Amino acid sequence: MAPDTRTTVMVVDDDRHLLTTVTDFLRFEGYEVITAANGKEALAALRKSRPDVILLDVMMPGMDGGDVAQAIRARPTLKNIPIIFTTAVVSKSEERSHDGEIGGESFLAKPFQLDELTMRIQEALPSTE
Amino acid sequence: MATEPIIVLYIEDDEDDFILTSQLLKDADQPFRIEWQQTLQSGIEAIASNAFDIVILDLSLPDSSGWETFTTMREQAPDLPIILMTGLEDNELALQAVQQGAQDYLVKGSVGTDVMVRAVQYAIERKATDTALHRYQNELEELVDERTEELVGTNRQLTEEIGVRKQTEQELRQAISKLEEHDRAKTQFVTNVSHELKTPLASMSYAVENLLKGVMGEVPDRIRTYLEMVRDDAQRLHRTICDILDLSRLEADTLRIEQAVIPFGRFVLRTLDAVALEVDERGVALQKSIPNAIGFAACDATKMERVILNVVRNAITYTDPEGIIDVSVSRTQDPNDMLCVTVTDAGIGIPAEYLEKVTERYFRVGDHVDGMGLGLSIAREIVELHGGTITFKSPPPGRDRGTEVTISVPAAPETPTVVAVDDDPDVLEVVEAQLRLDGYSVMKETDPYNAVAALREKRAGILLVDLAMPDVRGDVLIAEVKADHELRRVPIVVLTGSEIDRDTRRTLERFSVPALAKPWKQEALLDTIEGAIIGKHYLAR
Repeated sequence: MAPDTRTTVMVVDDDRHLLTTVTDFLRFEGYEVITAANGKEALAALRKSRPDVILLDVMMPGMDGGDVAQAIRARPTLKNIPIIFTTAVVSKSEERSHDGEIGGESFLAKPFQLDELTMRIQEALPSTE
Repeated sequence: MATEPIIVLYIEDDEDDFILTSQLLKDADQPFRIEWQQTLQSGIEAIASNAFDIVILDLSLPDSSGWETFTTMREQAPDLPIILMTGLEDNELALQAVQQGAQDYLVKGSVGTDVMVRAVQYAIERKATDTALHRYQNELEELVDERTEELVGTNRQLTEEIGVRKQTEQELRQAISKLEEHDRAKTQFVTNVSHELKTPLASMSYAVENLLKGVMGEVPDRIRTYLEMVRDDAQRLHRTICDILDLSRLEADTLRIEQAVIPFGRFVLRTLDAVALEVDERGVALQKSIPNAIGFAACDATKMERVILNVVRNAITYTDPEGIIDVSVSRTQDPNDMLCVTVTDAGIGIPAEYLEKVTERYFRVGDHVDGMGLGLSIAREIVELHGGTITFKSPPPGRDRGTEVTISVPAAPETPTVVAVDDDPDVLEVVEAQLRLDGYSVMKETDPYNAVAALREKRAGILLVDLAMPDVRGDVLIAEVKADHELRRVPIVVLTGSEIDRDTRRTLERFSVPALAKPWKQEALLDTIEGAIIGKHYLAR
């Protein structure tokens, strides 16, 4: 289910392996991917480019996902970018009950199915009409 | 009839008066014995040595006069009745004395024998009554004092007890806060373990999944088989990690269930889809007997799904190839209105002595069986959190081998009501017919604000709303419902005709509201509504 136009996804996760595997998958699926290994890197990268959607790990050393989301929401040029939180802490059964919390659109519990990831990304994107 | 003489102490310094008064008494039928004293001092001395019935007291004596004469006498002989003898000029003084405890007063020379005798007798009687009253009063006062003392004692005890309780309370508070701290630490630990286990598992799974998807190029079949093994084991590991985490949550008492009223039969049916592949691989057959519209139950869908899958996977594991596994859903009223899913296999069964133990934590039947013995104990706890039961029969009734597991949960007392809003009555008719078939109650509304009012009254209500209505913006309506404290948890499904505009689409995404495009199939409508209730809208995709 490749997107029509090249959609850019920013993936923020402190786990290098996870960052690599998710990035490889998304590129394979036809997305442009920007990666960041922590909140600072993410915010720095956001000065140069504007992704269509951000996949943001909640539990990271230093700035956690909530802090990063807050910083993003504080910037007028970035505040409308949909954020999907990824977390290994919230269980699958609980993910939907956290929707809309700490400044993101939704939660995705790790390990998620990669197909579900693309579905969530499509869901979060503003329609292209 | 001989009467006891009344013994009178007569204190009078005037002899004439004494003779006169004595004479009055002597004339009476009642005998009197009179002792005469002429001073107050000698009178008081007489009282000390003899017993008198009454004192007749002249107020003007050589050694005392007026008020003082009375008070002194009163003090010296508090128990004796006193009659005062006064002159005319002492009237006021005498009255005052009577108020202060003298029994009577007589004006000298103004009374005859009858009055005199009556006065003496009354005085004695009155004094006796007074004394009795006084004694009674004293007793009462003593009693009151005693009680007061008791009360003071009780009060002191209470105060002490309150002190002890406060101390205990303090200790309890400390213990509770310690426990809470411990709980927090435990929860934090679970959170950390969860993170540390799931993160590497996630990247392992993604690496394998990527390889299988051909992200790294074409994979030869022999390698593919291995990768599939890794993928399956990663999934199994994930289930186990979830079990252990659930168990930790159970032990920390932080396992929560989030219930939604769902159509039970369809839920079981859809849950079974997850094992289709395993059923095929094992070569067993799954026979399903699940009636339509059997009823609704309040379930945490994700957790209940795991319970059912756990039982079904056990059945698959223990059933030989070509064996049959039956899954049936039924409703029983005996003794309570319950919805039951029964999984019957023809496997090795459970030895009778273990039947009671299979849901105990860490229990396993023998060592040759896979697993940690967590699945069924967690299953039982989850079912019990739902107010249900899980029971085991081995062999199943009427069979010679195998196991029958029944999971029962309370049927929801009320069926959910779908409040359907569309300006087209024909559409509403179709919706009603399709939903009634599956057991939902349907309320048809053409005015969205009537619908909102109806939802407020229903406890298990679902809003099904047409987005293309004149005069009403669907996205505004949704935003309003979601902003309403009372209604924000109401599941919403929208019906859409043509294209959805950008704003509406954003609103739907923001509130995770699934949309169903007209025209739809019944199955899609049911799936979408269920998805909205459970909170997963991938169902409809």
